[in-house]
Amino acid sequence: MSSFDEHRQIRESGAAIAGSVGSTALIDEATSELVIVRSQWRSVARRFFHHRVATLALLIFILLALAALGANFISPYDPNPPLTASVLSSARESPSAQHLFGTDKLGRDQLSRILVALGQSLQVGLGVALLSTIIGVTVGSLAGFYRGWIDALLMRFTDLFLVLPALAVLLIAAKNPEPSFFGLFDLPPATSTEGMILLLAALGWMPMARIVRGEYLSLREREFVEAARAAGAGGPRIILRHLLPNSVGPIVVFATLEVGLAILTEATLSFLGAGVQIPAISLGNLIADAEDTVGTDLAYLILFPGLVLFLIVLCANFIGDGLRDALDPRARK
Amino acid sequence: MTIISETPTPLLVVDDLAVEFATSSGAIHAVNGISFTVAAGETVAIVGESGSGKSVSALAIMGLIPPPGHQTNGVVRLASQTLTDMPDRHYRTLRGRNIAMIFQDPLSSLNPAFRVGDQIVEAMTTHGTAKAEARTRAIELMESVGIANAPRRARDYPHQFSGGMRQRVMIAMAIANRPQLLIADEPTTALDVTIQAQVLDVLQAAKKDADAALLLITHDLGVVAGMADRVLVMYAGRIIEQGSVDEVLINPIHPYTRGLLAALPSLHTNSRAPLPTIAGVPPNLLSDREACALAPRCEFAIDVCRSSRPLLEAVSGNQENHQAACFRAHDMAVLKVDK
Amino acid sequence: MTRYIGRRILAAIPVLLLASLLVFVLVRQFGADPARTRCQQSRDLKCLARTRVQLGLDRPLPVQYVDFMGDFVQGDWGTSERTDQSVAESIGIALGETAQLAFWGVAFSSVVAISVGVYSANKAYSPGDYFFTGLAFAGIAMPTFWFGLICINYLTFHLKELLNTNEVIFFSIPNATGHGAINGFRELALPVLVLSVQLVAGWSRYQRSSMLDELDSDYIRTARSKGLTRRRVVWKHGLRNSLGALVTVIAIDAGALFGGLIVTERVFSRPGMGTLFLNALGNGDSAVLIPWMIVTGVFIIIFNLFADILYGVLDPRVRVA
Ligand SMILES: Nc1ncnc2c1ncn2[C@@H]1O[C@H](COP(=O)(O)OP(=O)(O)OP(=O)(O)O)[C@@H](O)[C@H]1O
Ligand code: SF4
Ligand SMILES: [Mg+2]
Repeated sequence: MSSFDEHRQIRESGAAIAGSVGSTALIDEATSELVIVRSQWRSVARRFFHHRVATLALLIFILLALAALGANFISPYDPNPPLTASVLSSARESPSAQHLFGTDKLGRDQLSRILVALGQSLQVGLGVALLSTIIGVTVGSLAGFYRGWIDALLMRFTDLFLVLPALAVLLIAAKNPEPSFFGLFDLPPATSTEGMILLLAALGWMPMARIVRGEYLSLREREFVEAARAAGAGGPRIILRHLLPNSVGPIVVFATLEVGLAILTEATLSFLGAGVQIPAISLGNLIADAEDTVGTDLAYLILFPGLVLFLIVLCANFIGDGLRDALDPRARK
Repeated sequence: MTIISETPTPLLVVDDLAVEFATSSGAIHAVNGISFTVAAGETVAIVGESGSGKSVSALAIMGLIPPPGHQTNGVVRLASQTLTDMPDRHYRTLRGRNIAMIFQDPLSSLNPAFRVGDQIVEAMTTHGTAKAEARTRAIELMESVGIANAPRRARDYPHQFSGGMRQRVMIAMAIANRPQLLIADEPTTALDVTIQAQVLDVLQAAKKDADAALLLITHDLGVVAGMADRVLVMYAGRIIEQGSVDEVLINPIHPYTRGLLAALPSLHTNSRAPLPTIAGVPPNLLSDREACALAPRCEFAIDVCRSSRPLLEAVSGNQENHQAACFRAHDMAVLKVDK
Repeated sequence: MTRYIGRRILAAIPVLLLASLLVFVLVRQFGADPARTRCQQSRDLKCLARTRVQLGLDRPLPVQYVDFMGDFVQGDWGTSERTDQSVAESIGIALGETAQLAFWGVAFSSVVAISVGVYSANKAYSPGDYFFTGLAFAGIAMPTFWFGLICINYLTFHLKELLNTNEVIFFSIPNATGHGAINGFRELALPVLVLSVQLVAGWSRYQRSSMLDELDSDYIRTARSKGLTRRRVVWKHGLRNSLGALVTVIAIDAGALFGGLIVTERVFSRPGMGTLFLNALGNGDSAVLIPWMIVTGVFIIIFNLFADILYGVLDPRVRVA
């Protein structure tokens, strides 16, 4: 649904970006190329900051990230304190000056817990985006440049996953207590942050691979690639110096959208009990833990973590939108 | 501006019309103050190279300038009504009923999802004709433009017709309400050369049939010679020469018109070659400098051509029938056409 | 057309077979061990080994797969490892429940998405368009499970207090005692709303962009030149042509709902495919999980095919060709 539209737009913007950057790749003097590339990135930045919503989103995203990073310094309370009598005595306190987001059923400060969970979400989001981009770009590059069996395999493989309900596949895989890499070596289980990142990236790199592949296929035929080939450049050189730089736009945009998607998916898995397990905290299991407060005065225990989750994903998506506009000047008038 | 008219009350009056497109690189002056009239029943041709503003002028008359364009100046009048600034709710009742338009590409101009019969019917029902009556008339119209098997063909979709047949459908649709003015924007450019003449014959017959005036935009000077009473030559959004077809084609004054004609093999042969191109770069519509737009490409250009703009003026005593906008019109008049 | 459909069905079979293999491997390799599930209650130390042999789990995976598929295509789907219920029967019942929810969700989402999409394209870059763009972004970023809980919190509980009644207006769980259309509405309103958020967000953007493409085309100009009102041009000529693309997307997404309502069913405690899956997953019941995955895959493939056919039906150019 949404990704359909997204992919289509990315594909379109990709072609446009190739058009704007492509000609510079012809210039073979390294210095002038660098200068041009640098000035291009400057104008990309300028266009990005023209997108006011995206700029605001970036600002909020950075603030939230800083808050999560400095959770230890900011939050006045221990997110997972020993449940002493004094802690328990402050249970179920509505939001107040002392506890901005209130306290949970066991008296723990909800804001402190949300900050920890937010850090976990951001780790997952950025980690998955990074890892799936690395895998996706590698596979997509090989498939798009060399075609052949890698390409055929990639296409069949992704077709295969398209006919399976994604969340169900993730849930089954996440439930595995002792995952391993085809039995060769052990992997961390999805209950840990690293395990979750590995899982989501392992099952989430395919759209990126297809995007990169599509980019390369359209770039392959263009003059500057032909020229490089005629000049005797080998595969890796053409990929690294010509194809990859010209595909940066769609890659960056899609990677940004992956951040939001990964955060949402992880939260959903944890909500359904297949991800991060208590006592470790995630936005998903915070909400699952408070599910029974629905309709009561304690419903703020659901409201706040969800709002933070929604906000961080929204920001990531708006940043992606801003990047798309910035990298594709023709999209806007 | 003087309005040239052959009859006391012309059907269409276009007075000092200007259209601009607001783009990120500045305003494009697509039409720069053109004035002309079309009398009832008359055929007026507009010629000019690509981008000279022919289609935009036609769309301005229809009140359908596409965004980001807008009319910045001038008045368009049809019969006694002023179309310019008319509210769309009122304007639309004239479209298709009093003025109708035929477009260049009949395939993309017909809705691919509806049967052609229904599309013709719609042109009538939207102006109040009863559905049943419109159906009968649609079949008649299709027959009148030479579509065999009309009752059955009416149920077909546009893609099931050939290019020529599609344009016949467009013509049938345009004359459905017997408009006073028919605008045809390069009606045969997209068609196969072999059927262009047939379609033009159909257009001519349809115009007579509906008793309409025809504003014919074309690239083909042969068509101008064969069909039009008068001709307007446009360049860079302006009319640079106009007059009766006999005068302009046989005795062209403006260097641009001469260029067009010189490149043509022979006016009276049956060739339907596209409008010949003139050497040099097309004008930049972004700048609106006080100069003759042709000056950079004109072999006759003198200093004044680059510092001020020539106005349309009568060519040696021929006030009604021939005007040109060139500082050297008098010199040109004595200079024989180089053939 | 018939031949085309036939060809598409044939082409779908290998995809389905490969997908079933993938599912089999996934569930067997990554899911819980069925023998362990059966022996959870047992004190017998030999239980595990015995059950393995009993269930044929000691054989190589490919052999197990061929064996399983042989039974599966013959309609022998076995029984649950937990409840001894017929798997085919429980999937059938669950499909019915999910289909009902999916149907109303798709119907509601289509109407809203088309209206919003056409409006936004028609008024592109107006404040109204930006408003709906913002809403679509919000919809895409919305955690479904959280939105469901929030809806229950406000529309089930707080609304009741607000209106100062004893009776809940919108149910948060299926209402077993009620009957009739009104009751059905009160029961389905919230789940339909929740599952529609993502659908509407995606579809309305899609409809907006395909409508924008159509509004740019020549036949729109022709329709205007005939004297049609702008509204009629948009809603008749433009919509008719832009719909083909959206209907395809709707059909594809609708197919995915049979295995895609896990969260909605879970939040609203509704029986159906999602609940069946979560229960089987919790129980480590691979006898249910594998057929469940294959069935949802079949639905996705069928609806993809359906989308292709619909596209042909809606576009006369494809229909005749
Ligand atoms: N939608 C638009 N956006 C921006 N500029 C436009 C648009 N439509 C037309 N123009 C500008 O108006 C000028 C005149 O265009 P017009 O279509 O009238 O040319 P024309 O004389 O009909 O040419 P052709 O023979 O190719 O049909 C063009 O050069 C173009 O720069
Ligand atoms: S005014 Fe000058 S430049 Fe323009 S056409 Fe006449 S001679 Fe040529
Ligand atoms: Mg034109």
